[in-house]
Amino acid sequence: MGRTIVIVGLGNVGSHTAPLVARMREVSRIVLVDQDKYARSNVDSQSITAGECGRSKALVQALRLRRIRASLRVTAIAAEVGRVPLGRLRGDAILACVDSRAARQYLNQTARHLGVPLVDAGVHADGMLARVSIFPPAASAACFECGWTQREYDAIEQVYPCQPEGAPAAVPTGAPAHLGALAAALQAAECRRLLSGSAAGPDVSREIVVDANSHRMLATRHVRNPDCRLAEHGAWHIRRLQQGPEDLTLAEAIGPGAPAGERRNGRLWIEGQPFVTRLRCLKCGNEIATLRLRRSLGDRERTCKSCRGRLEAAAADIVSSLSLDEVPESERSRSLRALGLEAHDVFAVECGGATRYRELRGPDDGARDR
Amino acid sequence: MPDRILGAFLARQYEEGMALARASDLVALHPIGEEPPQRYVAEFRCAGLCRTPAGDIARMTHSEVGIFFPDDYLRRTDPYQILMWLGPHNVWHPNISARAPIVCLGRLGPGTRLTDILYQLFEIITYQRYSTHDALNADAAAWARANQERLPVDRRPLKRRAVAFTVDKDERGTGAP
Repeated sequence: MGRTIVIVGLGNVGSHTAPLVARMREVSRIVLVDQDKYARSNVDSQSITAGECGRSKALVQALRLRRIRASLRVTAIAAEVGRVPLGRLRGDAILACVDSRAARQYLNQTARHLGVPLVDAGVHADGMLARVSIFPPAASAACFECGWTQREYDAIEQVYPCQPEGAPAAVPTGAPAHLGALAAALQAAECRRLLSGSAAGPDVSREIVVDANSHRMLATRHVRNPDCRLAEHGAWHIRRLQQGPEDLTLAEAIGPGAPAGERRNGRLWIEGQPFVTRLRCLKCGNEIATLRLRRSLGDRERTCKSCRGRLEAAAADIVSSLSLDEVPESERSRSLRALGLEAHDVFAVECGGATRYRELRGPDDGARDR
Repeated sequence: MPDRILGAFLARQYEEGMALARASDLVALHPIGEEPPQRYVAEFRCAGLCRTPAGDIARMTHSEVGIFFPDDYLRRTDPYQILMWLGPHNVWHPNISARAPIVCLGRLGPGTRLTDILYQLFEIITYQRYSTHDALNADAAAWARANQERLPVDRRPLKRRAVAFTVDKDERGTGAP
């Protein structure tokens, strides 16, 4: 059976990585994730042509990969990776080619939860350095965050109330195309080693840095940090449901078959994705009661209908999980879709003292390679 | 449910926060829930500004802010989720919304200590620090730009100053004035 590789970020490194992975015979499916479009300034540093500027990076690369190998199944997702349902990132490895610290942190956590290796690549233009880091999913192996200090956490991109337009865009690396291609080649080589089973031990996390200026290479082994802030290093056991988000209500999702008492105390959440219970207009003070996954709120839902002002949820309006006890009776019978969940979302349910992970079925499940 | 690492962090915040509150006349800290607490109400007794029903800008000496440390606070922070302005609702400040209980400290990194948050809130309330760029209250921002000479409204330090002094007995040896 062919393997599935997820590539996140299709810029200086990722645009070079994708065609290399597409040429691996053992790979039958590639998932490409990038929310951006190619710009004129990318032509010098990324593997694209001038005619592809202005188009979605994920779609441009998907077309290219199909031209390389027609039998390859390619899924293009033009969205910010944090908004992509976890189940859509399932595969045999995640290749991270991103330029933001928050995205790297998110992918590290995602790979751990899904129990797949993370191969992270990056470049440093000033030093002409190309880097690839390999993190196997074993609970005893170091993760990306194991080596972080407070300095790294302080540098994570953030959206805050005085700066509502979103997190500042990552500063372009300014790296030349050949440096990106070097990092991509290292990343593809490590991906191939993982697929062929010839990688180092299953719990050995390591980093390889190539200095293109001085022709030196440095290999480092990462050690598991017992005080790592990512407390859960092991993989989740995720059960695929036969139902999609429109087929299940909150009450059904929390405790199918559980006694009523346990079900009432049960909780449902999506890791790192809070729900909002109320939105308030910062301009006119208008308040709107709602119950939605915050991730699912688009610009339209975040705009006040009375004054066109911006709607925001305050601290009291944000909840990490939903329990039947705290949700109004009318909301319990709404479908998960109405609450903002999507196909392939992985939700956690705590009921009767146990935590279980469930993936919602998607419309394309029958046609999948897996 | 806090994990071991977060639990230790929360216990430390509790100790440091309560120590600061004990050493201050201008802030009181009320933990909520089981120890180590994840929620607090910080009660400030320093001067700030509010808008009266008549539209005048007046001095206020009492304000409250809710502080919440979610389970993933050490890894990522969502300032919207961490801070909540509890009152007074007629507060007058560029970085505190007059329409929603939102206060903006600017960047709030993962694992920011409780005492740092308290100091930052104190500086915001007293106008020792404010930003008129991308303000949550545009009218207050315009007012602050036009009235800079009146700011800050409270110059006292948050922590009571310790003054070391000795009392010498007078020549008669009684120590009485």
